[in-house]
Amino acid sequence: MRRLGSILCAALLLGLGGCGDFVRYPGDGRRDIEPTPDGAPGPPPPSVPVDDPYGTDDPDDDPVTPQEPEPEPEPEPEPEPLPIVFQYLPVGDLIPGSGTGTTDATVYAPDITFPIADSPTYVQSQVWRLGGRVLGGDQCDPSNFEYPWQDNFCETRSRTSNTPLCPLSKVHQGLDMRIGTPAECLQLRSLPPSERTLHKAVAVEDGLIEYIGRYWVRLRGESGTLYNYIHLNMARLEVAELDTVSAGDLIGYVSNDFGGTPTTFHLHFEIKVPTEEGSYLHAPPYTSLIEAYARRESGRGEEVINDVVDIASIPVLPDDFEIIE
Amino acid sequence: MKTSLTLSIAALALTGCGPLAPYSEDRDAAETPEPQQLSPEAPQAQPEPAPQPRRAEIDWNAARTDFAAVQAENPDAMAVVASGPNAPPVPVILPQMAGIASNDGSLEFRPLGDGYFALVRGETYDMLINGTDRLGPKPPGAPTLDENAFRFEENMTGAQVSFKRYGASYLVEFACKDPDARVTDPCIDETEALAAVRDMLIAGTQ
Repeated sequence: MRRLGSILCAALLLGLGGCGDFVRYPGDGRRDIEPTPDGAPGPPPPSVPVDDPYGTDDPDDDPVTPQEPEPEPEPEPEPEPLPIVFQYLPVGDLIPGSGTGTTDATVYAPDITFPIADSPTYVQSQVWRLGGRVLGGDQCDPSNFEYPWQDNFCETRSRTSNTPLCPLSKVHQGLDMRIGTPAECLQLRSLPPSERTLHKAVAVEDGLIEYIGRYWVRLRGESGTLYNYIHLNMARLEVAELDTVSAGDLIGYVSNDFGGTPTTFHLHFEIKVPTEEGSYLHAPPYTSLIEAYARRESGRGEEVINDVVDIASIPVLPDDFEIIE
Repeated sequence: MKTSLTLSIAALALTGCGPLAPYSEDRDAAETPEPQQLSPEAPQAQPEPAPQPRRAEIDWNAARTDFAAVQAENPDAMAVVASGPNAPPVPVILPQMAGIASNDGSLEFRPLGDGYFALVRGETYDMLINGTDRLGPKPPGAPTLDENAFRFEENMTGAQVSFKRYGASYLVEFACKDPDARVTDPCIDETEALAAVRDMLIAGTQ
């Protein structure tokens, strides 16, 4: 009986050994794989050996580790503020006694090129400062070549020049600016009028030179805005009527031409804008020029408050006193 | 000359142009706004960006009606200007031809992307005429100018009259020419300036 059991076990082992040819595993190197019969579930077996049959190198089989939250992006550092390159007094803060300024701070000519190419510029009254008609004195005094700028749009004038943007009538319809240094002022005074070419006036935007008058030049910008450059050296203009110019192109040189009327060396700059109001208006240039000057100087302006008001210095003018600049 | 002028005008009728509409209720352009008191405690105004200008909607029907009326009544007085392929986007208004010597350079005309510019040379003053379809923001506190009103102002170069017509804005400036004249003595007064503007006519373009 024991012999019979041994024989059966041996036969079973032999049988299993004979079955060994059919026990296969992926990647066992055998090429005599029977084709997968039609209708077999799952994907067909590989027809060529695979390098990693059990996926032991598959990174997806790695134990799942919790995802760490992505770090918050570093906030962009605040850009360094541009350096302060000039100071200016508030909009409409005229010299006491010189008129009533506008409160309109609208930038009517945004993105314009500053009308003076490269010289230091001081927006200030040409009537109520030294060398002007009211105070007298020397226009080349160093105190005239210092910041802060001071608005002079809407200053009192003798002629009937108005704009709805000034609180009163008979006003200055543009902005006066002194250019350069005291030494250059003295130099200009020593030169014959035709040779006064120290300070370049340039086009504030692309446009058309519409007209050359007695002592002024008109530029019409492509924006539709009109610009008047007054008191240039009319003997040395660099443009002609109906020329097309680009922003920054040289128009001429700042001088004191004013027909038969004497004035100081300065640029009188006007802006006329067509408006919803229905017509062209003389618009206040102060804020437009503050922004343009800051761009030219790659800096910014700082508004300061004029806390020095010498009331005693305001002259009382006779009724027939003529103010024309 | 007159025949060709008339033919040109007739051919251009559809491009739209006509005489200025009758003026009514002209407002005194020199009227002065009431003085405003500035409070010393008021906050100081900071530079404020202006809203983008918009383009006016032009009333071409009214312009064509005016053009037809002038063409019927006084065609020889109407100017015709060469605008080339780029007709101005606003009706062209110019002085009557009777006041302009033709072909002697006394009239310069430039069509522009937003309107036009014309320069009419004279003895006492030159006339600069600008028309545009750009309308910037209405300044705070500025009164609205009626459609048929004019605003007269003296200025450092002479005087000017501005007005609105057909939806567009126009500016006529009188640039005084006497080289020795003082700026306080303008070469033209309000009455003469307004009369000159009233005499202007809508023009043909070709």
